[in-house]
Amino acid sequence: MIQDIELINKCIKGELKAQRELYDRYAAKLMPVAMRYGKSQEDAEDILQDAFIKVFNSLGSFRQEAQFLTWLKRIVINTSINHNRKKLYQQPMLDIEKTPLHVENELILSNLHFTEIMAMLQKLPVGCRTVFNLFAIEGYGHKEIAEQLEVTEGTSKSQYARARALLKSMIDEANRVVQSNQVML
Amino acid sequence: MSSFEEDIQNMFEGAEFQPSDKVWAGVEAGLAPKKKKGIFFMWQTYGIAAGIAAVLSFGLLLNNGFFNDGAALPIKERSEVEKTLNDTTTNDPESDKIHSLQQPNEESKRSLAAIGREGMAKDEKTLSSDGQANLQASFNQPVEDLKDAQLPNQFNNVLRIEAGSELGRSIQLANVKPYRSSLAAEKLMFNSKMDMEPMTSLNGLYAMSSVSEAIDFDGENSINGSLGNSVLNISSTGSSSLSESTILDPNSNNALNTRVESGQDQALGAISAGLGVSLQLNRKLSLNLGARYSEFRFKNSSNAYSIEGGKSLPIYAPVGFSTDNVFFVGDYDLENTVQSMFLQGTLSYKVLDLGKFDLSINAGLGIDYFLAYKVKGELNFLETRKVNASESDFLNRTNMSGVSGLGLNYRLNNQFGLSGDISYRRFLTGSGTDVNAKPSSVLGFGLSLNYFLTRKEE
Repeated sequence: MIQDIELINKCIKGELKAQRELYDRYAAKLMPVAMRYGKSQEDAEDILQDAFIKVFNSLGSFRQEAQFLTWLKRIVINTSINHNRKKLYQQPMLDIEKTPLHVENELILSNLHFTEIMAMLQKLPVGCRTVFNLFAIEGYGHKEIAEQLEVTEGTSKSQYARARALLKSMIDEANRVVQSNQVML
Repeated sequence: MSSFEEDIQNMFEGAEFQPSDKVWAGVEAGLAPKKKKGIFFMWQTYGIAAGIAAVLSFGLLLNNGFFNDGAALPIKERSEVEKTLNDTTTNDPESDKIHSLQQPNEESKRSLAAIGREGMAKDEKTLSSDGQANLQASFNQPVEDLKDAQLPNQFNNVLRIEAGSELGRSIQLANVKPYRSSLAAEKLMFNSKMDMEPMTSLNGLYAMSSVSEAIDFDGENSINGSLGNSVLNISSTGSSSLSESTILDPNSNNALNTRVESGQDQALGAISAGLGVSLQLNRKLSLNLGARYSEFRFKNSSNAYSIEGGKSLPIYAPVGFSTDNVFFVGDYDLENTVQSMFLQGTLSYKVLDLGKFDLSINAGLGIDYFLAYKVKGELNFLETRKVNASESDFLNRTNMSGVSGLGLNYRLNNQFGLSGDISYRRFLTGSGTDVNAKPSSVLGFGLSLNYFLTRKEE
């Protein structure tokens, strides 16, 4: 199989066949990232499409010391944030004072598939969803998130707490269904 | 970081999900070369300027007789040309063959007798036998040489001038000068030649010389008015995605996630009318310049409308819309009307000439300027959306196009003619950015009435 670096060089030269091969190699890996930020699969596909166009237009700036997949994911995340930015302006994130910042009970994820968690994430309001993804999955701090989304650090924290509370209720409900199904069996 | 965050990170680590084929199609379309407006604008400007310059040059050259150089020469020069031609045809073995095929007959004798009467036999005297001369040679040779010249057999007893007669003496006393100096002689010779060698035969001879064709040719220029039917075939992306927060359910006012979609375009015929001028450059080739107004119509469908500036407007995705207030409804029909002013310059080449009928092919360039573009939805409460053609993904306000066509012309009389034509033009600019999209095109049918400004004599 042709190495990534060779494929990248061909893509930089504008070879469509190489671009298609690169797309085939990474599209399925990047789609879950886009799905976490998008509201639906169609929304995610729009994000992924825009992200790949950016990838092919900026491959020349890829520095080879970085992991290629990490670089690609970064572009998908940035595209997702831009995609959601307009919605974030229309539905501004507010500090939610009464939301507890820590959920005491641990969330049990072992019974669930990632697609089920993804479906739950997609049900979250856009602000909560974006902050949750950036903090819990990408590993950003609240300060970075606040800068990136142009909100206060407190807003980022409260949005995350709200996201976690909403997820907890959805996960608990899903776990109850799973347990009741097991009892029935 | 709690175990929850670690668990959820692990859950998504290595996760894969195959996107649909639409994603790659969109990526491929997005990677297609973008329209470079600046360069295009410059090219368009210079192209139009060059076109106008070319047309003006043609007009000027045509007016100065550049394409009819032989016919436009003064009499003296024309004589020289004809003399050259005569020499050519005389020395040409092929033309000799043709001459030999023309058997003398009584009619030619009568014609020659008439020539003699008209030109020199006013005194009705006959040429004596020692003064017999070849009539043709008599005009080119000094009188002294005529005595020894022999008249062809067929001229015997037809034209005779007595050497001692008044005419004979006049000829002998006259200064020797080539017949070309005499306009009357030239006319006489021309008439004689026309009688002896009918036009069809002359054409056969003259076909060997390009000079002769130029002398014979007298261009027909005409103006024409036409009516026709044109079908615009566009190529647009047809759909657009919107973010969910901007899409509102008209019942609950809740955000929805969906796509604004337009269906398959269905071209509808539309009337067009035009005026033009045709300048015949030579027997086969004509330059046609024209202007045509067209209204193109095509149907589509939509599943949403938007409220923009207090108006409820239909959405046809390829022309864009404001995403702030979009409402989804059941599918409804759209009618798109595009008004265009089209200027074209084509060259037509006559491929078949059947007397009153002739068939020609033509090709050239044109420019469409889209005057207006309207989208009308069939829902009662919707107003008509007015669009700038450049906002669509398949047209620019101004579009260059290549034109080709086939025309059947029928000549009613020496003043009027009818033409039926079918034309195809393909936009060279203004096509969609989708790499798979074909450029928009127009298929047209037309009937025109031609009025000949300059005419051939029937």
